[in-house]
Amino acid sequence: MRCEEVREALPSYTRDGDTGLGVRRHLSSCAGCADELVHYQTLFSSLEQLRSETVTPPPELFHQLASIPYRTSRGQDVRSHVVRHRNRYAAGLAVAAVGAGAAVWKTRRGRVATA
Amino acid sequence: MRRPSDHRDGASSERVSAEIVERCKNGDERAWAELVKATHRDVYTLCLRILGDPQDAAEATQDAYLKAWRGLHGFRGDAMFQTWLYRVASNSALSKHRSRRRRQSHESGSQDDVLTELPSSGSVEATAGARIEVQALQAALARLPEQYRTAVTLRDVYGMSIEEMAQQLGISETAAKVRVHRGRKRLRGMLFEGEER
Ligand SMILES: [Zn+2]
Repeated sequence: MRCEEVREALPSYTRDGDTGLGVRRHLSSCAGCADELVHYQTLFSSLEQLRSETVTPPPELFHQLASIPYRTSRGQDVRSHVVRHRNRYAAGLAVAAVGAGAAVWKTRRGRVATA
Repeated sequence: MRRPSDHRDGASSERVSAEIVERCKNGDERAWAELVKATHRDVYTLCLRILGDPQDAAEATQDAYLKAWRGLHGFRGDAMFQTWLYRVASNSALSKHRSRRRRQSHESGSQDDVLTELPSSGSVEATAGARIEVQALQAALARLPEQYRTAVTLRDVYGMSIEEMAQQLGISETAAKVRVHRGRKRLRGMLFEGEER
């Protein structure tokens, strides 16, 4: 195998275990490609360990996540609650508006009557 | 060298016991809080690595746990819980990513926020004692074109299989392999040759 072919095969050879006899033979006799193998080994073990490098989430996130069962089972998620019951809320608003209208009408009428 | 296997045990999160998962399945809210406490840091970091933006990462994390809570009954104990959770989380992050791209398709900004948000202390030790500084590695990852960064992150940081990645990204396995391969080569170039592309 030529160096270019080996270098193309090295990432998956190193990480995924795609073993090729040709690659192995070449590595045993080519210092340049063997160096390249070490680069990839270094890269992959570094990437793997990156997983344990975690970031602290915003403090409120934990409480938001922990309250998911409460919010989903008891309808405490106000926004989704309103969306789910949009029709009822709309009907309620309409009733309220009619009621308010009637009250205004009644008051005016009363004023007219007393005037 | 020790070869990373697919779906490794969570390195930084505490193990979630089968008992906790069972209690969660039965609607135990205290068990759920324990589960969240043990895992949310890892899940948030995964989302941040894919999305590069803390606000988006927090939203994707919330979405992931909501899906996890609702889908817990579908989790069979044959896989590690963390593995299952990572799958749900990467799905949420990728779907957030797609909707964000649709929203911002006219903009061409890169997500370099990841550079400032991810930890920068220490270094990771490799075989033969070689080290790549965490900061240098994360900076190099952040400079990768987004599709390569996502592919390398899912495959080489989180150990996702090519098959599953292809499924989650909605691409063929061949395309997923190509992305991973190109991403790795570019990373090597940046870290060992000082190449930018
Ligand atoms: Zn060679």
